[in-house]
Amino acid sequence: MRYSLFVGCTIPNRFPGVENSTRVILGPDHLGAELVEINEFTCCPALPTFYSTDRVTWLVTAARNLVLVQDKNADLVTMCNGCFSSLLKATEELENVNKCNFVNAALASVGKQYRGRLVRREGNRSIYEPVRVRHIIEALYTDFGREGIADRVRHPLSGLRIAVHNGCHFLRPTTRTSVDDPAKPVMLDTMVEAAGATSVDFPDKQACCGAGGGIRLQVPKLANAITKDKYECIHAAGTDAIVTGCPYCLYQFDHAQKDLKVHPIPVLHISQLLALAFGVDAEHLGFEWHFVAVRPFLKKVDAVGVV
Amino acid sequence: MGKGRVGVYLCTCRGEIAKHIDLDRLAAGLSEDPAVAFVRVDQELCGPAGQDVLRASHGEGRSDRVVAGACTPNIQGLIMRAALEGAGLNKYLYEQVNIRELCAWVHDDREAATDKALRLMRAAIARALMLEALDDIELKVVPESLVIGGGVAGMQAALEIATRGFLAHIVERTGALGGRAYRLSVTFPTHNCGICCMQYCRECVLTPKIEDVMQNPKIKVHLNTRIEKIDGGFGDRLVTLEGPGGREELRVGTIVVATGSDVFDARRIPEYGFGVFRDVVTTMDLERMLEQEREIGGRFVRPSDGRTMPRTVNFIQCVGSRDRVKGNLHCSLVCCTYAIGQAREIKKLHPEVEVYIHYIDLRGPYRGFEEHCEQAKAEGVVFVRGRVAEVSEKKGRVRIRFEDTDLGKQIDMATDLVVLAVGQEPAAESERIAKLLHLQLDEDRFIKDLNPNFPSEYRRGVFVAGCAEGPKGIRYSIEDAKSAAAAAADLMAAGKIHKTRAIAVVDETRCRGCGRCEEACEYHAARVVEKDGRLVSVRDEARCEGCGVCAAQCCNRAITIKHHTRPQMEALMRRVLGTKGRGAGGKGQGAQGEVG
Amino acid sequence: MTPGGAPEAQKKRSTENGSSDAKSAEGGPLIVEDSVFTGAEHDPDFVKQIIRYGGKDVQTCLQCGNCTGVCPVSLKTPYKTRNLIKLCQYGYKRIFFTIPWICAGCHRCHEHCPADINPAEVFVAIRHIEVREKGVPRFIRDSTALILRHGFGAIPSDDIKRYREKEGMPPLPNTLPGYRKVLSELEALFRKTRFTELIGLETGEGAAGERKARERGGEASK
Repeated sequence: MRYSLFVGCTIPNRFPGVENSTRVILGPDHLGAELVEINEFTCCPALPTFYSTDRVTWLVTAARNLVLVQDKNADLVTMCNGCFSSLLKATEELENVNKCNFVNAALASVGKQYRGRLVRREGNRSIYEPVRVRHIIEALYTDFGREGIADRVRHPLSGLRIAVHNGCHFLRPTTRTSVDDPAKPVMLDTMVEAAGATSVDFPDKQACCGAGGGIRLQVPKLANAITKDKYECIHAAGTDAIVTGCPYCLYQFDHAQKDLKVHPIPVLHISQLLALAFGVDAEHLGFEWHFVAVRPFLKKVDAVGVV
Repeated sequence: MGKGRVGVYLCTCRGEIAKHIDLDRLAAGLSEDPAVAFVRVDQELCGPAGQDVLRASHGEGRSDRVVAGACTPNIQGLIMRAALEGAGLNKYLYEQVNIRELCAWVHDDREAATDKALRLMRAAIARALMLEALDDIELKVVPESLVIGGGVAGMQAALEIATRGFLAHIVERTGALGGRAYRLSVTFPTHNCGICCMQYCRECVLTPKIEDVMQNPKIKVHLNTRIEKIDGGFGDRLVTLEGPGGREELRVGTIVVATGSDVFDARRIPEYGFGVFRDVVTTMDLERMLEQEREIGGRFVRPSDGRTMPRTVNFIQCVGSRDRVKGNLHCSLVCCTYAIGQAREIKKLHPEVEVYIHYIDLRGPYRGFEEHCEQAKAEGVVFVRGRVAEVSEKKGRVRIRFEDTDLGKQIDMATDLVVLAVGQEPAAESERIAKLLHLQLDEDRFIKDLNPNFPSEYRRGVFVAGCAEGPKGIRYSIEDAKSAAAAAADLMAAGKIHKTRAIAVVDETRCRGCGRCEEACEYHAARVVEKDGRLVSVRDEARCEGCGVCAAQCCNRAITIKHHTRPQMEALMRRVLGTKGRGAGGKGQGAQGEVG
Repeated sequence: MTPGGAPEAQKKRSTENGSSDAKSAEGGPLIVEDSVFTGAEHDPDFVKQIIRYGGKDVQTCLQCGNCTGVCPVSLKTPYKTRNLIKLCQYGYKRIFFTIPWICAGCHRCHEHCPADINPAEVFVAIRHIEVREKGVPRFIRDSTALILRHGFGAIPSDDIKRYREKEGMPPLPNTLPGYRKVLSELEALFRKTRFTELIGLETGEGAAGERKARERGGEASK
């Protein structure tokens, strides 16, 4: 397994613990994936800023990021739904020859060309496929599977009730390259179950967190109002934590709970949850960067753990 | 005027053609052709006056073959050809170029369109010179009919055929006659049970059907039977059945396809939770509940607990219809009507139940629908405009979320029973039968009409009735069946049909009996037989459709399609392409060009 | 998504906007201004324009309301997806220029649309039109400027850097000296696609401010 981590903007600047826990669980002590470091990435670019204003610039900027990975023989793996959606959509659009030529004309000005990843050679012909853009949830689910993850668990989170929040851009829009079933997604739930915890069912499970599309930036009250509905469903279901695969959803749930002054439910990224289950010391997982204190949850983990 | 023998007629199509094509220039250009006897331009050749012109002009005897530049040869062309036949022209000496659809309607450039028309007309004249007079093939029609499907349309068609004195075989896949209509608890517009369309029952004795069919000596019912193979051609088809009694063969002259439709599988719209939440049912499930409630009582209960009566019932319309993403694009036409009927039935049995109908548009293009709808409103059924977005479950009750589009408000309400008004879609069996009979399907995968304005126009003795041809209500299926049956009976009463001579013929001296044509023919018209000690291919005139596949396959050029012979087509192509060849200019014998 | 990117002043302003929106969502005053559309809002080419910028043909909308039923934003604001699509059908373009960009882009409307309209993409197309005809919202300009200066939508703080060091994580790319080359590439691309022009980052003062900001960013990374 060769992965190139695409960390994006939110994770390193708001939740560095998410990046660290991902590095740790994928690292040699645990899952043993090979990580390829690329230092020339830029913003994915963000959909509300670029895709909404100029599709061409969005595609060119995304293609530039993809070019950096194409010759590294690695899959691009992101821990953020926004980056995932933006880059995946870009690979799809770049399969269109006309669009790809257009983008390459622009990229030529900085000495780059998007071809995709070389699959094989047939005589003089080289066969390329689009750069594989993957979400950490899907990569863990497909490449390691429930068993592969469960085998690594040293500290099962049994007895803990987790509310899973997939986040919109992990599931939608549904296209040819969609990874999970938007009506009944299973991947994140499976990962939570693999960690030994229980994924709780609650109404409106696939609802939006409220932050997306620049709402959080423009009208935070609206974002919080949307979050409130979902929070109430989660709270009523009786859960110990909310687990998501997206730092922006994490940020929204985390922040909104403070703004709304509700009974706090800790919010974790799936990488952090798995790191805890793998027995990584919570010290290293950056929980001090969360607004809602994760300590009550950590206490429960100790209380129910079997180490 | 030239001294040729070809009479040329041009039609302005009441300006439709004249607007985009310079007919004067076209006429002048054609007059120069030495083969042309005269060129006449008329306002409307297919109209009564135009037909008179054709008859009178041809009657003068200056031409022995005719080329017309007008509209489509398949509709109005037939009228014009018939007029000329009345004046003594052999119909195989008539050629028509569609300068309306192929030139006038598709090009903006008037000059270029005129040039194209001129070229096409000249080519047609070149071909016309080589046409030979032929006569139609006459075929006998076997005086028996096969009706595929024993639903309301199939039964009506069989009864109608039997009444006219011909034997009808009903082949039904299931073990009972009656089809879907038999399972309905209420039918529009009488608001009686669906059985009333079928047989005597305690509620109604209006149209006793199943009994009539079973008793009729002229109707033979084959239940639990599947159609394996259909062979033969126009007027005489060999049908292989596979039934409980084993294999059986029928010989029939006409076929009525009444295979009906399937009900949409609601599981294909996951957001409605059919098959997940037990209190979400389809209208077909509700039919059974209502029927039992009426007959035994106490059966109108929530499926989730099997005890309590639902206090609130919500109907969701357009499930699988008008949905180009997860369902079918077409409107199913009957769902508004039957859902309102069911809603009224619930209100009749239990007035205290709240009934809501969620619709996008109320569509009931039927006589009496408005009254039906008004009565439902008066009886307390609530109509909500806005399709339900999703169904969920909370604390053991199903909830629906929707926008009331009249209010512009989102509503999230708890309910006890959600009824999905599932639409009709083409039956899988229908598609198989269509393939066996070489019938075309339309964009919704229903069997396509020959002419959408004229129901029951036949295609080689095959007629389509009822929902196989598109979603329909009971009354309209019956109407359809009647007209299909009448047309089939007429055909059998005539006893014979005329079929075009434009079919394949084999030059037995050239044929080496290789059998490629037999493999290629999808109508089973080509067969290799032994004749005078050598193998040769022969054609069954009744089966051959003149498609030309065998001619293209033949390595020895032993096969010719009459009326589309190699010299005729080559002359045509050379004039279109503007190339010279031995075939061009009127002498086509022994043409060996690459074209054709 | 570019969290933390907007400067504090801008953040504050948008919060105020938010509160006024929320208020109108809860119920407006009894008497309102004459709300008859006069046709001044009308643009007959709006539908075609939407298609040109990548939206689907809104004329095929059935107005069934499925999109509104699942829209998280419609639930909390007076803006109903179905009504907005209807406004598109009428060609009432200018009305959209008064609505903040509040589509969450969750694509639930698309999943549920029986007519395959994809309202989320229609709104993306409308934003394209608005940017070209009316102007760019501040928060977009700010976050774009930030990305142009730092490659990402946020500036790494000292705390972040300390944490990374403590945990032995590799340094963030945009804190490395070689990242200047990446920024110049990005700028070249944005100029090539005329994005800087579109967003208004190139005009006189803006460009100078931008240069200054880049110098500051460079210092910060040292």
